Amino acid sequence: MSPVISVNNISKSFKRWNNSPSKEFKSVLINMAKLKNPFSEKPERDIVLENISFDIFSGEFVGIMGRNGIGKSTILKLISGIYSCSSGSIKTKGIIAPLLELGAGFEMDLSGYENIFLNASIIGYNRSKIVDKIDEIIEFSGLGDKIHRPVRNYSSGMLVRLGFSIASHLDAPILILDEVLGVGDINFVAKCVERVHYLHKKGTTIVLVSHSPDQIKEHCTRCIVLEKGRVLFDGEASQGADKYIELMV
Amino acid sequence: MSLFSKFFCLDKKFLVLSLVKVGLKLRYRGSSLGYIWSLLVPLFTALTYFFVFKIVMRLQVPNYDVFIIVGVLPWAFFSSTLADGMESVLSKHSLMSKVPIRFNIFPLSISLTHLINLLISYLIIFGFIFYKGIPVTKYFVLLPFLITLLFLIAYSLAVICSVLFVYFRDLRHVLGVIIPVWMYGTPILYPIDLVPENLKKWFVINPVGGFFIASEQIILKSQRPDLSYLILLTGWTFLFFCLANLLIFKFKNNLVEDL
Repeated sequence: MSPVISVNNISKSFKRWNNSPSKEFKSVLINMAKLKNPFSEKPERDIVLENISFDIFSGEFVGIMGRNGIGKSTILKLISGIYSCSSGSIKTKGIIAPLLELGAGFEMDLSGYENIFLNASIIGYNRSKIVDKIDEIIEFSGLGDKIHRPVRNYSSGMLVRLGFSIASHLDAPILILDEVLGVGDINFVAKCVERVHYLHKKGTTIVLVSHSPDQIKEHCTRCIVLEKGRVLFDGEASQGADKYIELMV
Repeated sequence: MSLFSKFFCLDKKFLVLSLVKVGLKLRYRGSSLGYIWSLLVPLFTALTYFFVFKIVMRLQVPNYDVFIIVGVLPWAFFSSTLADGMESVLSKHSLMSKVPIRFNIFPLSISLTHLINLLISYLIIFGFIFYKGIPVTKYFVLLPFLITLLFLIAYSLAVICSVLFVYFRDLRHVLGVIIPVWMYGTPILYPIDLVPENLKKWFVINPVGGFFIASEQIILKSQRPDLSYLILLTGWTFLFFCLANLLIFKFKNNLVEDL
């Protein structure tokens, strides 16, 4: 069986912005006056991920763990296709429904209802699919009449409710969740966990970033622990979670 | 995927449509006249020019009211596409950094939103044409071709400006100077015939000049537009089209990180 997500020896580095990025014509002009090529100074780059490889197969439930700033979210953004790798390649199969941050992909002035259409069309679904699912999405979000209010007025809990409801009801074969299960009240978190389990049983591939070893042990079939830009551990979920705890002490 | 379908985001038709709808909806949310504003503003601008140049300065141009409308409404499309298109990518950075989306979809949806306004503007122009009894000749069939070129040139420039704006925030002020200068350098408020012969050659290098001169020749002079202007306009369009595609190719990966 071929993997649905294939991460092949990737590295990722970011430009380092020293206090003020020179986003002005002025600095270009000054450099030109000094007879220097204004574009010759390449900014230094910070390496975040180095030579990372793993394959994720259909139906797996993978947890990704590691310290803050170690590149967990960067990996998810690379898989989702938002960032591109500095080297190496990532291959994915099928539509990915990413839920990466609060209010991801929402237009703040539109109502929640209108945002469902916008958000789902960004992920790659067309109108008829969204119309099919919209009642389910609204029902699950528990927003009730507030669905017709502008998203600007939503609390962070409400944003997560809406975002999760959309991402988890479109039948995307791959679901990517970045620490989103932590927000929201316990009722909703329980509902989300149940939903994720249901999707996993139905065969959806799920990639989840979490800082909770318990969560990983309970739900995931596999755990990847990152440290210093590399894969420290890749294997059975409870072992991975223990490895993470070891790392933290 | 072909360059053409990438440029026009043909694989994301439904998303483009959603963004155009959102654009139209948000722009006039909360205003009582709503969409009508997008037509009223250029019409009032045209009225002001008519007052200054026809009534105060008594410019001797036949059908000057139609002439002004024929120039000012497409110019309103062109300049607002440039200005809004430039900001479109940066203002959507929260979207771009959280969902995978090609950046040129934002200038595209802005351009299409303004194109809808332009097409409705042409209904007003035709209203004027019929009201003034200006003959509709066979050369009018060239107008859709001209509008297509103007759209392409505006969209391409919007893409170029939107990329530059991410790296040079001064562009907003630079454009604020360039657009009015460009407008007065384009035969919109005065016919090209009034321009002194020794200056005329400079009007040739104006990328959108050909559109306005050809429009005037078709609508007001009922004559075949000079082929040279059409070729020139096509040439400029092609140049900007290529430049825009180059930028889309070059920045498709790293623009998100630089926002």
